Amino acid sequence: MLTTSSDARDRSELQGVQPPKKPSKRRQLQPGALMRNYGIAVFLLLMIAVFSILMPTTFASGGNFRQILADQAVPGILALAVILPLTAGEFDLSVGANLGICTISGIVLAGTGLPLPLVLAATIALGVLVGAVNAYMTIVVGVNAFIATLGMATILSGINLLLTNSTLITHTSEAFGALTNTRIPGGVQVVVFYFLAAALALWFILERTPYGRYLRATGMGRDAAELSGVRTRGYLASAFIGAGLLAGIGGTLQASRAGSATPDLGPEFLLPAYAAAFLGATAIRAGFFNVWGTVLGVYLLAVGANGLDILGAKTWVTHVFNGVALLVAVSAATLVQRRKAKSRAS
Amino acid sequence: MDLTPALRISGISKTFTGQKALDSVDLDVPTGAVTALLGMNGSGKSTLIKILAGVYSPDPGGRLHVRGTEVPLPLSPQAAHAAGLRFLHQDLGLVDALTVADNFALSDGFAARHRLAAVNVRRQNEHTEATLSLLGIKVHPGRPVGELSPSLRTMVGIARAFQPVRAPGRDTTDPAADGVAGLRRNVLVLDEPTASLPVEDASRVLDLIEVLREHGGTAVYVSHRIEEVRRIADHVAVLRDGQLVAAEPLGGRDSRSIVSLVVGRQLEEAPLRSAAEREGEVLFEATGLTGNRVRNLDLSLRTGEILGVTGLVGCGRSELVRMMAGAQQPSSGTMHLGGRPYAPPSPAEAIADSVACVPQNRRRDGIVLDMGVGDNLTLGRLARHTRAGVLNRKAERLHADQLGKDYLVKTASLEAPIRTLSGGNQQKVVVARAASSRPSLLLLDEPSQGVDALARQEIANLLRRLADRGTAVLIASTDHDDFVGLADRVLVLDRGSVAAELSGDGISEDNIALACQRTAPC
Repeated sequence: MLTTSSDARDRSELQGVQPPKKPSKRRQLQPGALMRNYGIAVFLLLMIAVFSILMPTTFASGGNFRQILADQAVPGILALAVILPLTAGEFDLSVGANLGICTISGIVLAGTGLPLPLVLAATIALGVLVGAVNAYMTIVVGVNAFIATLGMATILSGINLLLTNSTLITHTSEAFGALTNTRIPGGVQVVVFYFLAAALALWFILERTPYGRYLRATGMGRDAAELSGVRTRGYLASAFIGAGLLAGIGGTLQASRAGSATPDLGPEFLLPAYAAAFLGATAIRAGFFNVWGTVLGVYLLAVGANGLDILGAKTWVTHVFNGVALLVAVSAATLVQRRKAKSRAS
Repeated sequence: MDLTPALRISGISKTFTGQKALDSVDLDVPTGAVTALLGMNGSGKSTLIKILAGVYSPDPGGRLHVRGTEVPLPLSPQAAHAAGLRFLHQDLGLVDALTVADNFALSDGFAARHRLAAVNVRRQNEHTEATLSLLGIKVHPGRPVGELSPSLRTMVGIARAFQPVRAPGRDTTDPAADGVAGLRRNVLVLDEPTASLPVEDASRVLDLIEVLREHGGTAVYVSHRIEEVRRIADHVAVLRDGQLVAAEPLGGRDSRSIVSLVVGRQLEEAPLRSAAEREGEVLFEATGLTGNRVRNLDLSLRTGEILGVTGLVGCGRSELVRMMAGAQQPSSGTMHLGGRPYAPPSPAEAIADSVACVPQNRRRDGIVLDMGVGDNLTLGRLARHTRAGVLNRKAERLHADQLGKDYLVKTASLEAPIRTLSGGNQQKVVVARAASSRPSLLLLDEPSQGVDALARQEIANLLRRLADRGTAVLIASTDHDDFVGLADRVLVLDRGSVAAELSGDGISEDNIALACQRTAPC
């Protein structure tokens, strides 16, 4: 592009001394861009409005909102966990089972009468260990991450059967339960606060540190990143370990909150986490896996399920809703992306 | 000789959001000849090709005749194919896992009675073989395309473009006659088919295009390599800013006059430095370097020196660069940098030792396509803008902006994905990033691939300026144009070691080509 009019503009810009152009605020206020980046938020608000009009006393009650917030804290943390490997360009299918084994170990350990800090440290460390083994298998041994973590998930569900002796297990430690169930001012359970803290920390790491930038580069162009001096193996490893850490935290909180666990706990958390992460990649920073988009995704799915549930819809409706919401959001984002690519092909 | 033009393009324009990418272009492509379509990135070349391929719709009013018959615009890709237009891009559109014959069939139909009938493999191979042997391409139709060398793959792609269209169920008795008919009927548009090929592979592809012409085939050839154009083109058509500025027989034009036709003005060349200016201290030394195609190689580089490294395919050029950049480990031999042993286990260590690299495969190894221009400019170099693990984004953006200006990167904004930039501008980003860590040694592997003439000159000038400030520059390339007027010395490699050295006035295209040919196994 040498002498087109936009080029003349570019050249004057390159020669000028003004600071780099920030993404203009004006552009984000255009309706197209607004829908592109905040479509999910708009849809979430719309859904809350509709359900509130339909069920002003049941759905639109402080108690129900607090319940949704608290119930989604652990699934939300797991959704944050999957963002890390996804950003680095890999799938980690073991986070659900990892959360399961951490929940179960937390309950078992709490039952032994160990001091609480030790229980917490041990269960979270277990999550990190699982992540480290995943990292070893994929990076050092070189197994495809999809397969390595699938294998890991299978092993963990087996161990869960062993640990629980194939029956429901419970713990009775009140201190452990209070860790999540305590209400903070406003009446919300404290577990919501942990979720937000984790989201804030992850957002900061991904968006405000070189670590986040290099992790993205590792995911989007590994060879180029490596040759630019990024130690991509280290970043990849950290993504799996970070996912393990978050799954471990999620599992510990689940143990504290639920107080009980079935032997098959865990895997059912996996797909909603990925659904939320992919939904999230269509919002806020469209086209990139990102924290706030994922948080929105988690609550979008949860509000839909909750509203339909209170409306008296059968369980299958909720499943269909979740699937349709995911497909519609991701297709819409793909279409927008394609249109954008076409318009700039000039 | 058929006097009806193979293609007659009349009054074709294309407007993108108010900007005219093509402005009422009239062009006749003569039958049975090779027409070179030239122009810098952004001149409208690819827009024109995409209109012919049915990817873009032109503005209303334009007309297109193929062999005298009007073809309604806009075309669909299917209509373009049916009209006999064939396109070959840099990525050849071949499926690696399939055989040559299957790849032919993908474009022109399988030898089967209908879609669900069994494929007659023998007959299909025969058809493919007929076209291949007509063009003198020695490859078995049953070989998977993935096994073929890059030049053979390109040739297979070209041959496929001249395969006659075969309706399912229809069988002919004379595949060879069919092949000739296909050759005469189709018009092949080649879009930089040799851009990623080393010179001697490219030469084989050019041979093939000459064979095509002998059989009466028509081709439109797009390339940035002027030497190729001089060799095979009968006509040149030059686009500049969306307008056709020349369409004429090539005649005896020399490279310089073709380039000024394309650029629209004379190119400025940096003056050659005198010998006295070149005397720096020895910065880098390799002794007995061996491993992966490099064999017992000795090399030394002075500060501020620009060293060219060339040779035939497999001479170890790229491998040498990768070893020096820390992307590959030598099995024996030593390297010294600034008098100290130098053995970087990874590119990150090499960069820390002030050795930076511009890799060969830009789209894979050079840039992260979906990240912004700014992010690509500072990739791997964020440490200086980081305090306690936190990125100072303002400082980083300022730095990226400055780099963009210094290295003449033309982009709408730093946030634009780098995939929207032209090849030349992408390459300037990679060079800017490599140079931004103020390396004492800068390595470049095939720096001009897919880079237009102006950007190429700009990059050459930037390298000269870096060298003047004391950076040692090593350019590995098969495009000898990269060295003339820029390099202080040129090493010709043969099977992993230095076979010849040229310096000063001895560096000319002819001399380098001669030295390379001497190393060729006879």
